[in-house]
Amino acid sequence: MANLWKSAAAGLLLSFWINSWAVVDISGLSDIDFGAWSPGSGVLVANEDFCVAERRGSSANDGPYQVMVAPLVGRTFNLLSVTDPTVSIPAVITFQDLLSNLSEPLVPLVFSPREMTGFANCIGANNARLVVTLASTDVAAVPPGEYESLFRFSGRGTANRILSDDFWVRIQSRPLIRISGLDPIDLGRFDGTNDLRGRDDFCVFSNSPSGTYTLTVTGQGSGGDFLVASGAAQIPLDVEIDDGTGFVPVTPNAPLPQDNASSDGIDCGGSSNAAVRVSARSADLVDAAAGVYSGELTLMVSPI
Amino acid sequence: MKGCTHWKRGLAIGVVAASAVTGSALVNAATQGTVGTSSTGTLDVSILVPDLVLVNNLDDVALTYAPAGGDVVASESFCIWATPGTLYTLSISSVTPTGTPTFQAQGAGSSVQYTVDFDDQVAGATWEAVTEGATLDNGAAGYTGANGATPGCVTDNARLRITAAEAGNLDAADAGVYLDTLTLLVQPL
Repeated sequence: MANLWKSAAAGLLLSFWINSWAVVDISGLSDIDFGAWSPGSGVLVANEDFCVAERRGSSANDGPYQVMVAPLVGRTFNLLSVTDPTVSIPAVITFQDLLSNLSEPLVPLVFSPREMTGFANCIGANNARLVVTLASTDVAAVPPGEYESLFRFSGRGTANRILSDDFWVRIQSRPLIRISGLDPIDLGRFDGTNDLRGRDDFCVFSNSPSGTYTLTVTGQGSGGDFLVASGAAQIPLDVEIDDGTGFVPVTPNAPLPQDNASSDGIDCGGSSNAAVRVSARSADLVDAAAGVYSGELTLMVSPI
Repeated sequence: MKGCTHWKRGLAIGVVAASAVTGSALVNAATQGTVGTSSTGTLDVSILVPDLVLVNNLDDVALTYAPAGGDVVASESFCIWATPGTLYTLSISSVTPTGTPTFQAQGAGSSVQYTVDFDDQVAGATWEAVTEGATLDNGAAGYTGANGATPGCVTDNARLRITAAEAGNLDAADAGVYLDTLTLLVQPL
């Protein structure tokens, strides 16, 4: 529902009647909801098309107007966490004039310097578009939850008459997680006597403040058994994981609760916060024929 | 003066671990997870098991010669272990100069000549004459060692036979102790 802001000064009212330029209608502006965000790279874009009517004189339908979007809380386009307004997702809002193809990046609380093209009335067509853009990295960096802000779109005609309508922008950030920084583990050459053991440090990112997650390790053997193979020959492996509290044995396909996931960027800021250790026992190695053995471990992390 | 001639020999243990797998041909990789409601990454694990061999359970051999007592012969059984599927070859060298026909044990002023035979089993009579420094390879087929378990043998699986022939120079040797040290080199074929 558009709100008409009437100027109180009698002089401006007089000007209105002389020029007859005014935004007279904002129609069809609805909330912009990104929904539950699916992770991906790049940017997220949502559009909302609507109509702005600006009448000049008695019948012209190309009356100029300026636009502004103002947050009703704060002075930015940020989308605020419903549970913690100190946490927010930056947004960029652009206005597009669908009649002239003019695209105008908006500054919060500031009318666009350029003028848009209005319709004489809003009947069955749109001439305006709001484009809201979010960066995936910004969405991934905030804790899961609902993020929203209420904005006021305003159109100002040349007679300085302003019509406004409010709309919400919303997005839902789900619990997100990422495992990275994995490297191969070369256990090296069996010497005939000693067990072989190697480790790899890696990163687990989570946007959940708790930092808790489960880690499931699967090998390439039957039932996910951990092993390396050379043709049909196999050597079993022991696998342990460490979230910073010490290595604990892992059973194939069994999720193991872990802690200490980082929320410092999806690559943990280049550091590591977990490790996997792999061992092959001498008793098994002496039974193995000579050769190069290799296998794959799959590590899956999930938020708790 | 002829008398009771006896001589002893010591056998040194030679353990050789060599690999027929040269270098590492490993192609390792890892994949990183993507951001999502769950995330999966992989890493490769690799191991190089070389051709390994082990000779052990060797003991010193002492032989005693009594005049006119005939040839002196003794055998020593021992163990050769190898990685499963790995065959081995054997060569034997000694610390003394090569004798006639093959080996000699050294005394204070003279030596005793002797021969060495090898059998890759502890039963039967498949002796092969050993030439010092030469490689025995079972006609290029190699020999089969024990394998599995802890490197070694539950029971010995090879033996040496040492023979000093009376008709050689044994009956002419001075009384005393004659020593030699044999080194057995076992290698993967």
